[in-house]
Amino acid sequence: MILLKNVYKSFGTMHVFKDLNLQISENKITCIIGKSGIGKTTLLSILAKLEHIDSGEIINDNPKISFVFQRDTLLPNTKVIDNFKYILGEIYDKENLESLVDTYLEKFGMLEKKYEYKENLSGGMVQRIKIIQALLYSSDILILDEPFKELDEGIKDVFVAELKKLKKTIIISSHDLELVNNIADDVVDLNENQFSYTVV
Amino acid sequence: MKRFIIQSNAIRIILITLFWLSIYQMLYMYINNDIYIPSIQSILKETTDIFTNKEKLIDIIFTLGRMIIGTTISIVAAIVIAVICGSKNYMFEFIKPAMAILKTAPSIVLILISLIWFDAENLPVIICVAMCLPIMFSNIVYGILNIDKVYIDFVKVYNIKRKNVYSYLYVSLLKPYFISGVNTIIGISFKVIIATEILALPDYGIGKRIYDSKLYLKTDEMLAWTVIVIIASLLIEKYFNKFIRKKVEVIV
Repeated sequence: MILLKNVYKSFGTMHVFKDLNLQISENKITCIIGKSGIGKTTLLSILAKLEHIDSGEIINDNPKISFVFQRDTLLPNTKVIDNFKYILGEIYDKENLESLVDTYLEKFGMLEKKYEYKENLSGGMVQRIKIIQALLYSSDILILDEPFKELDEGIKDVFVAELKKLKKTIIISSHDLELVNNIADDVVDLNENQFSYTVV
Repeated sequence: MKRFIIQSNAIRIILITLFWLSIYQMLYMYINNDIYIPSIQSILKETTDIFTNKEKLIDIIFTLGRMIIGTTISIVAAIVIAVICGSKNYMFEFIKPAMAILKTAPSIVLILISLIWFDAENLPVIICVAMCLPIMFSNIVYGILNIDKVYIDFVKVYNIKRKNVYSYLYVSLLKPYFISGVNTIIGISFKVIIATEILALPDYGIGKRIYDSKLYLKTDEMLAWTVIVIIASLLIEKYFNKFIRKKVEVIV
């Protein structure tokens, strides 16, 4: 379980969260929704300990996190397979890693792009690789920031099915309300009350 | 289509070269004094002589060797220092003044001071490192300091090992900075090494030959050596870029 208690976060004079209280259940899919600029990415960054809070408390029993960033995180001038070796090379041995990567790339229709450079991939393909990286990294919590934005409907369904199968805490920020309804166990709507919100 | 583009490129280069050669020729005819402006023919003849003279080839080899050693030391040292400075801010603050001094100090002053400390044979390499290291360092450290925060966050979240950060993240993100740095120092290293050879007068070296040509007012030989330096510099730059694109697999 992740618990945020009386969290305050501001950037200069701009308050993003004022007394935010939030509880995220273990092994469930929690979706965070809200209009642009309301603080969805900041909240995910706080949960991943990438952003400091001004005050308050964060309780997280599971420190291992995988994160699909909204921005492009694949290495430039680098092949798809090397982007996997970069984060997973120390975890899996070479053969295991290759076969795992092959399985996932095939599942998401990307096997023929294994030795392709990142620059030769479309935005949707880059997004698929980023999600596969996060899926292959063994973590307790999976955080995805707008993960389905550039994906085709068919591929989106494959990923949704894959996420539903996972037995881990999943936190997704999304604008896609139809998808949120389809996938979410819990929904955190930051539009409702930005400064004091509690979800149980 | 491709063949046509290559042909038109070749024609353009030939026409530009002919234009500048004719300007030179007119200047030569106007001055009409071989000591000030030697003829194109005599420069070409001297250039051919250099390539057929064993002793003069040794001079080229010595200067090229010094250039290769000097740039290699500069590149390796710059990478090591930049990586340390990129990860430890206090080290960057510590190194910055030294690099700034080397970068701004007039090369002639450095050469003259170093002449007191070092022997003529090693001096060109030392001065080359002193001139090239700060340029290479600035390029790489600038690349490290400008790594997008999202890549740093990615490393933190996935707890990526230092070895992989260097071999994947740094290699992929710093490639353009590395290549532009090396291209810059190739030209500079030749200039600095030859200037140092002219002042330090080691036993062998293009600079020593240029100094001798000046001493005997052999302007045509002096210009022939200059032509050789320009050609060598262009060739090294060209083949370095070709090599790096093949080896490091850069996508342009």
